[in-house]
Amino acid sequence: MIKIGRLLESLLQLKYIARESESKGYDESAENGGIVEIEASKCTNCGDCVKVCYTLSIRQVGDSHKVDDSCIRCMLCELICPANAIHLQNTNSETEE
Amino acid sequence: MNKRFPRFYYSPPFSTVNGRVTIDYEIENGGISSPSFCFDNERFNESDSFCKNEYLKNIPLVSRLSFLENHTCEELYSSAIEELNKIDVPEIAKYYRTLILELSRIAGFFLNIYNISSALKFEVARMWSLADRERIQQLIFKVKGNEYFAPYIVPGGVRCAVLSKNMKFIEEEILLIETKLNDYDKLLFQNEFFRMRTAGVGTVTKKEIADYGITGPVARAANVSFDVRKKLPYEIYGNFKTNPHFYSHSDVYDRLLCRRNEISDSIEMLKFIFANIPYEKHFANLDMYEHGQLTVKAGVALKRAEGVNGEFICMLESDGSSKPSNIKFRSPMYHLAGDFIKNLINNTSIDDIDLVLSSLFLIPMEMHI
Repeated sequence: MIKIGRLLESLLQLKYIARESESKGYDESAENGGIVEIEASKCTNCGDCVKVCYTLSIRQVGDSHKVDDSCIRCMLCELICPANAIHLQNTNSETEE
Repeated sequence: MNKRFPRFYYSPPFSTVNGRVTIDYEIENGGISSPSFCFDNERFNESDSFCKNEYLKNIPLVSRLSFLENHTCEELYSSAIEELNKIDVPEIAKYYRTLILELSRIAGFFLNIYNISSALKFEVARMWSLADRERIQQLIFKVKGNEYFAPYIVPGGVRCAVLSKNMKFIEEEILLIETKLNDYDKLLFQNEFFRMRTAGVGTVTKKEIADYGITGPVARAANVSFDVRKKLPYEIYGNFKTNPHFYSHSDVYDRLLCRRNEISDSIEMLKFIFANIPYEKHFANLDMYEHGQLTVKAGVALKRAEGVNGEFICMLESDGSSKPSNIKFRSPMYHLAGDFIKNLINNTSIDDIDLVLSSLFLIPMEMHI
């Protein structure tokens, strides 16, 4: 009984920790690398990002490109983009002013 | 009396795990005799898989070569390409590179404290070291702004700059960890139980270190003061002068003490970085990248760096095309591990086998037998 009691207690603690992190506005996407975004206004449709993408996650949609969920956020596309149109959101990748 | 032939699993005992280390041994008078070291690893030929890809597409692969030394692999690959292309890296990128290399070194050493505490069933030290490792991982997230295994050190510089507010946060956390090291001293190194369990266990002689080509904290704990950061300084390591430490027994205690002292040295280096980091707008020299390609001039580059476990080497051979003609990484894991570990654990107590292997900080996936 004592063992089961301890197990229940630890599970409740886990629940409490999870709730606490939710209440603090914990953004899981930021910890996991954020979201890769391609700015349509800057994109020149050169196709370099499609060529360099290891997981074939970038595809052309209209005049711009979009990134799907298979992206591993290696950010080679950001490195190679001549128009500087690709960046990570919710992270510190943006330059300081 | 019947002999028993138990099997010790160093890695998880699942057949699906790649890189399983098992040791079959006999027990005689409470000690281990005639151990046989088994290693089960489907080792893929790195050179082949790298040579199929272009230089640029190899960058995320290099980051995933080792779970512990991913930043060291990135540093070696990037610096080899920079040497072949004769590219100068911005000064600020060198500071950022050193920052992340030292942070990952501290995280690695905390993981080793966790391993040894687990082997000894020292629960408090185990939980503390794991929590502190997580704390360092959070700092690495702050630097990279991305996943742990996403590349940060890229040929030409680094992928992104660190915001000044994040830098202040990292500095505060590092100072906090420095104060916590005193608690680790009280918990482990001034603890009589810890000293009794680790002193005189798993002694590695200087001759063994020379014979088996061992580097890193295991060698430094035996007073072999070889450190690539001091002998062949790269990035900004030439600016640091740390006092050498001396150890007397080269046992498990000294090995952990060596790692603890190196955490202090790394913190001193980080303090230097916080105080002297220059302000530059450009953190990467992207002249090499053109039209979705990374071009590398023909030649051979051999780069060496001090990883968490010792000397890490990368050899890169280029014929001027878009793909490398040959590339080879040599990890600091014990290259004659089978023979070395067999000698080391022979005649040790059965209680100490986990402790001795933990103190060597074996990473089965990086080992060659």
